[in-house]
Parts: sequence; C-alpha cells; structure tokens
Amino acid sequence: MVLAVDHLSLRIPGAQRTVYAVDDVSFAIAPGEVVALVGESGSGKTLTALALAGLNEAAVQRVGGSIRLQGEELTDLSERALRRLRGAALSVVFQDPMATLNPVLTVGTQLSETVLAHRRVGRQEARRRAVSALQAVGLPEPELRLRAYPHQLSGGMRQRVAIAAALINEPALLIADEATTALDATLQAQILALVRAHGHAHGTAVLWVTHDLAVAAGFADRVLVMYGGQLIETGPADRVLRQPAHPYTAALLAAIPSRAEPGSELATLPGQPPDLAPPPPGCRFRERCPIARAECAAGPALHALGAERQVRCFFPLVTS
Amino acid sequence: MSPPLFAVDELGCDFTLPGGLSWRRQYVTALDAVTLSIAAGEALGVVGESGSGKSTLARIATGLLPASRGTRSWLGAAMPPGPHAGIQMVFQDAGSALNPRLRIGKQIAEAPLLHGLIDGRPDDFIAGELERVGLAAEFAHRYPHQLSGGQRARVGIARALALRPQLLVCDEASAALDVVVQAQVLNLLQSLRRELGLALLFISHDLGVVRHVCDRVAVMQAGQVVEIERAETLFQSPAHPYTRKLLSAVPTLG
Ligand SMILES: Nc1ncnc2c1ncn2[C@@H]1O[C@H](COP(=O)(O)OP(=O)(O)OP(=O)(O)O)[C@@H](O)[C@H]1O
Ligand SMILES: Nc1ncnc2c1ncn2[C@@H]1O[C@H](COP(=O)(O)OP(=O)(O)O)[C@@H](O)[C@H]1O
Ligand code: SF4
Ligand SMILES: [Mg+2]
Ligand SMILES: [Mg+2]
Repeated sequence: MVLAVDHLSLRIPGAQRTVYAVDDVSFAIAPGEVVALVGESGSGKTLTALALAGLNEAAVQRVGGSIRLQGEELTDLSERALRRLRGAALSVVFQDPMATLNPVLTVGTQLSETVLAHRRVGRQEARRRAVSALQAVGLPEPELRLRAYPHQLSGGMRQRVAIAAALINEPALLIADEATTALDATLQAQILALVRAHGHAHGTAVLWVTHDLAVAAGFADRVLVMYGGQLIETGPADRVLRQPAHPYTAALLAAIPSRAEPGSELATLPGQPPDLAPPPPGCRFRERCPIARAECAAGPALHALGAERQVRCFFPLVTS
Repeated sequence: MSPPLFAVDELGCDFTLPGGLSWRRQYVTALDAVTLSIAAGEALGVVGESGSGKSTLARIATGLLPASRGTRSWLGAAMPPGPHAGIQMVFQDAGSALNPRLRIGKQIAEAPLLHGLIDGRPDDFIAGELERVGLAAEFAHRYPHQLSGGQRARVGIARALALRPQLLVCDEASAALDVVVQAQVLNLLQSLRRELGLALLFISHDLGVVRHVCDRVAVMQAGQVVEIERAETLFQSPAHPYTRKLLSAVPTLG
C-alpha cells in the first residue's frame, strides 16, 4: 500500500462548541489505484484530504490515528519534513488553481523550481521536464506557455498547469480536492484520463475528492462515501454505484438528473446534514433515512459486506 | 405568429485586452453574431466549452454588460440598453452574491422597495417570497452565513423572483451544489415554471442537468451558436461535430 490511514479523527475546538468533523476514518490506497472520496458538502472530505498532506490549519486537531505514506508515519513528522515531502512524494491539487500557483512567477519558472527544489538535476533538465509536463496535460504550445504568467491563461489552462506541477516529480500519492469541479465536460474528461494514465504508468496512488458521482463512477477504481464525518460505504466504484448498500448512497444516486425522466420531479432528502458539534447519537443518517427503525438509535459500525465492500448500516440494501 | 418573449439578434461583444506585446490593440471576440429567441415559459439551455461566451451572453441578455453589436428585443419591441425589470439573473455562487452583513429579509425586499412594488412594511411580502422557495418566514431574520449552501441558493432565486421577472437567467446556478441540494433547486425551478409561467435562459456545463431542465438547447463554441435544437433531438442525434464531441465527453453513471 502506498497510503494507509488508520482511525483518523479530527476536531475543531471553538469558543462555544467543538466540531467533531472527522470520526475514525480508515482506508488504504494501492500503487496505481484511483480512489474517489465522495459525499455532500460539509461531510468532511476536504479536512480528511488536507490531513494527509499536513495542510489543515492549526485550529484543526488530530485526535489519534495514523497516516503512513510508503511505510513512513506522517503524523510524527515536523513541518519542515512535511514540506520536503509535499511536491515530491505527495502532491495536492485544489479546486482553485491559484491556491498553488504563484501569480508573479511565469509558468516555466514555477515548474522548473518545483523540479529543482526536490530533484538533483540542472536547469536545462528542469526546463525540459517542465515542457514535457505541460505537453502531458494537453496544453497547446507548451514552449510558449512557459513564458506566460497565470493570469494570462484561461481557468482551464491554469488548472492544467497546477496538475502538471503536481505530477512533475512523479509523486507516490496525488491528492485532488474538487480539481475538475469548475471545468467543462470536455476538459474534465481530458484531465481525468490523463491522471489515470499517469497513475497507472507510474504507480501513483490517487485520492480524488469530488461531489460528482458520475466522475467517481467513470474514473475511480474504488469509492469511499462520507456522511457526517464518517465513512458510511466503501467498495469497488462500479459495484457501489450500481448497487449501493447504504440508503444515503442510494439517495445520492437517485438525485442525479441524468438518471431521471427529463422534467420529472427529482428525488431529494428531507432535512439537513447532521450538526457535528457534537454529532447526534445513533446512526447519523437516521433523521433523513427512509428505512430507519427503532434499532438505528444504537449507531451502526462500519462492517464488511462480502470481501471488498464495507457499509455502516444495520439494514443494508445489498446483502453480501 | 406572435413575437417571442425575448430575443437577441446578431449579438456581438469584443473585449480589449490590456498590455500585450504589439502596439496594435488586441481584441477578444467573446460573442460573434449570436441570434436566438425564448418563448414565454420556455427553458432554453446554453452549453459549450469554457470561454465560449456563455456568461458574456447571460450578462448582455440581463443588461449588465453592453453589447458591441446587435440588438435585444422584448415581446417584439427593441430594448434600450441596461437592465429590464422582466429579466433577472441568478449567479453561479448564490452564496457570494448575497451581502454577508444584511439579513435575508432585507436583501429580498431591497429591490422591490426601490421599484415601488411594495410599501415600507414588507414583512408579509418577504414571508411570501420565502415560502415560494420553500423556506420558513423565520429565515428573514438570518444572515447568509447562518444558511446552508442549498438555502442560500434558494434565497438567491427568491431575490431574483421578487421583482416578478418573466425571464430568469441562470448562469451555472447549480454547479457548486452537491446532488441532493441541486435536485431541490432544480425541482424548485420546475415548479416555478409551472406556477408562474417563468421562462429560463439556463447556462450549465452539466449536460445531464440541461437535458433535465430545458426544452431547447443552444451549443456555443468560440462565441458562436453552432447548433440550436430541441433538447430531445439534440441529445439523441447531435448534428454538429462539436456537439457530438461535447456529448461523448460526459461521464455517465451506467
Ligand atoms: N472582462 C473581460 N476582459 C477580457 N476578456 C474577457 C472578459 N470577460 C470575458 N472575456 C473573454 O471572453 C471569452 C468568453 O468568456 P465567458 O466568460 O463568456 O466564457 P464562458 O463560456 O462563460 O466560460 P466558462 O464556462 O469558463 O464560464 C473568453 O475568451 C474570456 O477570456
Ligand atoms: N476552520 C474550521 N472551523 C470550524 N469548522 C470547520 C472548519 N473547517 C471545516 N469545518 C467543518 O468541518 C466539517 C467538514 O468540512 P470539510 O472537510 O470542508 O467538508 P467537505 O470538504 O466534505 O465539504 C464541516 O462541518 C465544516 O463546517
Ligand atoms: S442504520 Fe438505520 S437509520 Fe442508519 S442508514 Fe441504516 S437503516 Fe438508515
Ligand atoms: Mg470541500
Ligand atoms: Mg461562465
């Protein structure tokens, strides 16, 4: 396994209330594997992803748990050691490319510097790698783009540069948080295909955070579904998204317009996601669950469903 | 035949680029001879790649941006430049389009008070507008940060509807929402169409959403409309090669 996360819990203490944002999350990613982390907004996807890179703000506290990258425990590392890892063994791409790009440096300088900071190569070689990284993300006229500043590129081009920068040092782990959410369908398809091919060719483990289930279905090998700070279902993407076991996964799928008769009333859920300060007792989906029973007040554990799947529900829609 | 509710004819828009290496001024043609019309109660979708001119079209239609060329018309009559009470817009991120320091009720009543549609005691009006988008009257007293993403999207729609438009322009109005909230917002738009006969100019890069909501769809590429067709026909047998490329790129769920 490239990445192994065990019992990760995160909380954010506040003046009045503490948010128990992420609760006991465990998963692993194999070399070349693409794992999608899905769930509605506020479910804890970003905090989980940022925790892996040591990028959460100081207010976010980790309560126990372990994060191992290629066998190395990351939770013990100093900030300096983590900085050395980021951009080399581990890269992050955000929804807004300007979160990682520097507005006052040309694309060429940024990419070359990323190489020079982590690899023992000369300027010429760094530049050559910059050109081929831009070629790989399908940027037209890469030689010319090296001289451009980020603001001289369109939004889609900037995101491709950010992804080129993330892949240039061939990281063992790529973490992307809603990286294609703002892009149109053609560009998104192109980037997903590129990341997948790169992952398979170089054995990169990919954690792709998205709220778009169609992206997860078409792109990921495995999917992790989060609700109210907990993993509630995991398994092979095609099986989970074709035959969901958890009522929440089923509700997400039922709400997708392209699966409904045009113009028809779309299925939604009543109520709101749970308040996590503190989380409600029992099953966190109970208030909104169409099949909840009295037993659900006890709170189900994430348990195995056959060899490859897991579900956190007393009454899963699929049995083994 | 009676004239359409709203139409644009040979619309063009150029932007001047600052700086640049040459002495000559550099132009981007964001819109190039766009002609389309929307009937009362109709939902017209606009799709196309990033930078193809969709938002520019939305802003010109709403009167927020002047066109470089071409005309707009309302029920067959030429429209003067600027906003028109019958056309309102819902922005991509309804949350950031709201004023963070103003209570929800104030934001909904602001424009109607200005236009003299209501008098100084707008509480009943606000309650009615909130109810229309499925929110309880008590939301009037909240600030935007006290609302969920879906509730903010509803407030954005309520604010646009408060002026009683006949045409609502939605620019990526559901792009940032997750599927459950998106479904709630799309259901709301559908019921408003049924109840108020509202027409939509609906821009989205999510083709599944467009297919669900729209009667007709215009496909844009590099500032031009390359195909405009009934939604059913367009999705089943796209005529233009670019439309085919766009449709084949969409990830689908089995
Ligand atoms: N204020 C401006 N100054 C210069 N160029 C502009 C300006 N606004 C838009 N453009 C350019 O006009 C073209 C059309 O832009 P527009 O925002 O309409 O695209 P869009 O289809 O809405 O794209 P997206 O899907 O990315 O939102 C693009 O080439 C864009 O770079
Ligand atoms: N800095 C913070 N202070 C307080 N609460 C936070 C902070 N960051 C995130 N949260 C809360 O933690 C939860 C998970 O957030 P996040 O991981 O960003 O969700 P997602 O990425 O799934 O939308 C949410 O309830 C959010 O409001
Ligand atoms: S445990 Fe009960 S309430 Fe929770 S998801 Fe399963 S059936 Fe629904
Ligand atoms: Mg997030
Ligand atoms: Mg736009």
